[in-house]
Amino acid sequence: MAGPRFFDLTCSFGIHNRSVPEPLRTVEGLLGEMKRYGIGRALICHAVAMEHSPELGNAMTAEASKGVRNLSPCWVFLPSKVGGDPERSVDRMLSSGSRVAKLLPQYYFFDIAEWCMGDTLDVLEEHRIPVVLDFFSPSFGDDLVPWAEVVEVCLAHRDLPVIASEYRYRSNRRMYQAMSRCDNLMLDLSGLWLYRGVDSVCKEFGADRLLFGTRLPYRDPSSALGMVSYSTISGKEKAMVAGGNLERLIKGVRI
Amino acid sequence: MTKPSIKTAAMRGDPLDCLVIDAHTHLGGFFNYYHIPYGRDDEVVAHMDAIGIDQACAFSFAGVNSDFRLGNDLIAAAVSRFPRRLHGFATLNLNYPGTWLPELERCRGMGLVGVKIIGEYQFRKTEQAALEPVYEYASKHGMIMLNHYWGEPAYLKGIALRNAGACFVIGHYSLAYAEVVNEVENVYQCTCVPLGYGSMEQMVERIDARKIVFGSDLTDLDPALGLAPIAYADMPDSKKRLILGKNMLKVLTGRLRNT
Repeated sequence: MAGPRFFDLTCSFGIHNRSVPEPLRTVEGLLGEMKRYGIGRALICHAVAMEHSPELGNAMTAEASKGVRNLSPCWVFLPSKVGGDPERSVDRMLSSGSRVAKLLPQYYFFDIAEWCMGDTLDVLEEHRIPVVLDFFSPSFGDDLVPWAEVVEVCLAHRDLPVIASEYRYRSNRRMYQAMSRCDNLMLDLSGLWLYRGVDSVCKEFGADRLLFGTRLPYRDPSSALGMVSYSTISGKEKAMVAGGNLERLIKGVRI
Repeated sequence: MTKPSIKTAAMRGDPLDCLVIDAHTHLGGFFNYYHIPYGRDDEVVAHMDAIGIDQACAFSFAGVNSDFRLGNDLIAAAVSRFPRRLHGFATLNLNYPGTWLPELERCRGMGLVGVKIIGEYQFRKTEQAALEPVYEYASKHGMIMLNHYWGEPAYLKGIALRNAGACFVIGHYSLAYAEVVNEVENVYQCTCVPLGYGSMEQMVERIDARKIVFGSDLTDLDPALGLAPIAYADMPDSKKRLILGKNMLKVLTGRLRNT
């Protein structure tokens, strides 16, 4: 029996600051690893876009994924004063083929609050562009998501699909409460480590609130794959979490 | 029909068709750090069935940073309810040295077979806690000692050599103790949890596969988080079987020799 089709939300490639294995530095290597693990499609972000400069890196992401059927570019945004007019940035993103936005407050040292990102989030919301609030850090750490700020974003932009990433472990009460308050809030699986998180999140909030991600090349993709495969949710729900939800969000983007 | 490989079974989400003993689990259903869904003992054992975890070494949450006696009682009760599935470990609190030996005696009387140390949650370091009487007790009674963090490898090597009757398990994924694990017969390395890309392959490259035991940290972490990297790892199924269950079976039955 064929398993669910996996569509990885949190994949990056290129030369990262922290050393990653050789094969995962190139698109070809990444595609090989995806095949080995049975991951059919990935949303990718170049290391330069994640760690150095969205201006340079977004173009590199777009170039690398151009014409590659199972790779889709993810576009990194900065606050508008330094990152450029949000409308123009979104136009550039859409014309590159990208349909998912990413904010990296940890890497680029800004806030996701209204005063800082409100104008950008307004434009993304207008287009229903899903935005990954990505608090990833390659170092060790517990729950990295500032839930109060994430809830504020979700409540201020109710038509914006928001995906929180890097919740990890050692606390979950804020996460449960945030998910219960915001219907437009979803979670990335790559940081959902606590016991039976997939079963619990799907039961409490619905399988449409969880998206598969591996955090390649930092983490072993088998963990995220295993958490879906060994969850007790139905086959239909597994398909949603594995890739259906991300496909649905991408289809929902208004160009 | 040929049996599917361990990786194939994991990709399908099928229970693994080999002996699986989880050397690192927590029971109790409650913890101040987080909410635990499906945390009742019977729910946990049912989920072990779904994944294919045959047996688990279990310690309490309460003993981590609250009432260790309550925690140990809960573990003893769980073991008596599921004697073929659970191996109970007593949790000690490093802030109460006067209770260690009486509590171990009480727990051993209740059928617990190991000791869990987790000083980091009790604001104490293992190396500074004067635990020698505990190690001697464990050695005398052939108990398994699993620690969240043993400190310097030389410290672990010293206590393991002096207390040859006990088995010392490094509770979390580490390559820092590789030499000690490979050299000292009664020291084992737990896999809990190989999150980094290729972590399992790296571990097996550095540590003798006969000295590695699977640990998931359920019901803290999701069991698949730590199980899947072993199942998917680029290594023969024969090594995976050792890590997943055969090695821990040897430890539990007191047959420590690497032969």
